[in-house]
Amino acid sequence: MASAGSGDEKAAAAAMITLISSDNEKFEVTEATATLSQTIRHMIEDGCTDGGVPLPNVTSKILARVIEYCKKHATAAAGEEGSSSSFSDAAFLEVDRAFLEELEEFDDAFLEVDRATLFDLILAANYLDIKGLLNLTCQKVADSVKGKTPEQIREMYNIVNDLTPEEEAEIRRETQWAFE
Amino acid sequence: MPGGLPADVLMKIFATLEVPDLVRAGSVCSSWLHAYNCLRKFGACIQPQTPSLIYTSKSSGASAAGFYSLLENKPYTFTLPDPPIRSRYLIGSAYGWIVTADERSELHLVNPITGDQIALPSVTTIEQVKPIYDNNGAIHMYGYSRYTGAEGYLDPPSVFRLDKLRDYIFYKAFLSSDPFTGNYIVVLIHHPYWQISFARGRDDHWTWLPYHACYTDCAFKDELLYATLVDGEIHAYDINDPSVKPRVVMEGLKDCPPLYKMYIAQAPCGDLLQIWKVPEDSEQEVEDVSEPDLDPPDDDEYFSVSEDGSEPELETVPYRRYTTAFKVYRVDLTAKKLVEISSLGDNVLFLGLNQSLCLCAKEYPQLKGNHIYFTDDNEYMVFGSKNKCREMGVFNLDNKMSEKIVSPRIWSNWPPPVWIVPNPRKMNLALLN
Repeated sequence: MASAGSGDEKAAAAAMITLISSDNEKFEVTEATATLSQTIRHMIEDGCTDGGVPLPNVTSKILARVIEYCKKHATAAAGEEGSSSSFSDAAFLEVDRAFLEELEEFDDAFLEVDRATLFDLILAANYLDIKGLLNLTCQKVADSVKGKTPEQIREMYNIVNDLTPEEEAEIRRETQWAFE
Repeated sequence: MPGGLPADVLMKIFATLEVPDLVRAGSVCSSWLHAYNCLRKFGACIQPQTPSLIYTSKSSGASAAGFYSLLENKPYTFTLPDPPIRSRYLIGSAYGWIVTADERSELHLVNPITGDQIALPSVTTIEQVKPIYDNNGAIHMYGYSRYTGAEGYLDPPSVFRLDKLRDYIFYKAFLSSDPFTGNYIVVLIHHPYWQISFARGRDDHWTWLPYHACYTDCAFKDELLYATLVDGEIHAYDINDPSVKPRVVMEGLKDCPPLYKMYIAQAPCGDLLQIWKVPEDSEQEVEDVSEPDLDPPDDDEYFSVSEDGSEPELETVPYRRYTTAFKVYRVDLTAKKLVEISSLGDNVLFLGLNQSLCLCAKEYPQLKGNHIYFTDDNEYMVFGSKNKCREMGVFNLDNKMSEKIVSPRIWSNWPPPVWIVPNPRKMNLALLN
């Protein structure tokens, strides 16, 4: 039974999916990598991935990064599953910690991107419904605005202040305290 | 897409922010403002907020409240709705709302972050209070009877001016849940004799629980109201059926020192905790209250006059530190006994006029585990002597020492400073009323 099970897993892992970016670049990825995206998982379940999955909202530059993230996290997930049965508890914890540390390092390095890329990654993670990536990138934005004034945030992310004078006045009236 | 991100993603980002950052992020551009407004209107799972101090100071004006963020270690000032906060008494704080008593001794819930304000049922609907009308049919005095369920009327009712009743009647107020939900209960410990009355969100009157007296603190757990008495006894009320007498879940201590102060709180794991505040020297405390002209202490750690010197009364008011120690017990409801715990571990307590609060410091990077953050709630001092300096500090259960929180002192003594967990959820009060 056990060997048959792992054989199935291998077959599933070997199944390849083609993702097509908005600028028509094709990316071959394993199903295990692709299904970190709930959006793609549903498409696979519905059998609509033949001939590739067009992703008109994601450029090749961003898709390459997203795939990099998914590959790493899919491998980590598979490694964790494998380790749980073949190590004693203490050894398992050790391996587990090593995995987590490596993953954290990867995530930190992964987030070393410019602001525009960060926003594009968030949009892609949102569209593809990749929970881990969305959490990671959103947290990065949240951390970056902490202790900043609205003006500093606008500058940081190149955001135009399109508030009407009325809105500005209302905000000031209600929340003047936060700007002192 | 101005601002670059869709509303649901922005809301997800904002939900991880604490209040000062959240408010600032809400004014970056129109799409960020929209997400901010959605988040606080729908009350979606917003990040647990680090407790802050709320206080007033003479220099900021009658309607301004100070807000000292323990997260940023930084004071803010904001304007609260009328009547002016410095004309009110503060008798509680829970779920980001403070409970105040105005110059007519009427109670309000106020959320300082959103400016929302809810009037609570009139003080005249409290069992022991009757309105006295003048010739024009307006209330001009209150009759207050020293009535308890156990002993009936003790003596003829007193007559108080509208603004005087609050000196005598209110002790502490509690909330069962965030009023934002609309489904909440306000519980009052009030005089005579620290009895309990409560009101639901839409009630127009207070309901008196006539069974017992001498309560000092309340906590809500599993749909029950747990109220601790001055001697450590704990009663459980089912507020859904106020006709049912409370269950005694813990007997009182026979030899309880009279000046110990009892608190009750629920730990994050669900256990009930009873906390005793132990005055350094009980006899000294009595002396302090009755003889307010002792020498000022050498240690002026908590006594520094605000930088602008706007609190001259301080110079003539003596101050002595009262609180020196806390003891923490786990309430074993099955065995009906208290189990002393020497360490809170990662947990941290907030005690004072606020609803007693136990949080896990791991979720709040600025809080110190195994510490008790306390503000002054000594009844004699808080309500009896408005000018006395308010004691405040952080008690370390490891070394049993208190540390100061803010220096120099930035708050007035009256109304006394209180802990608050900022709550950005904005109510639609128009719908509510």
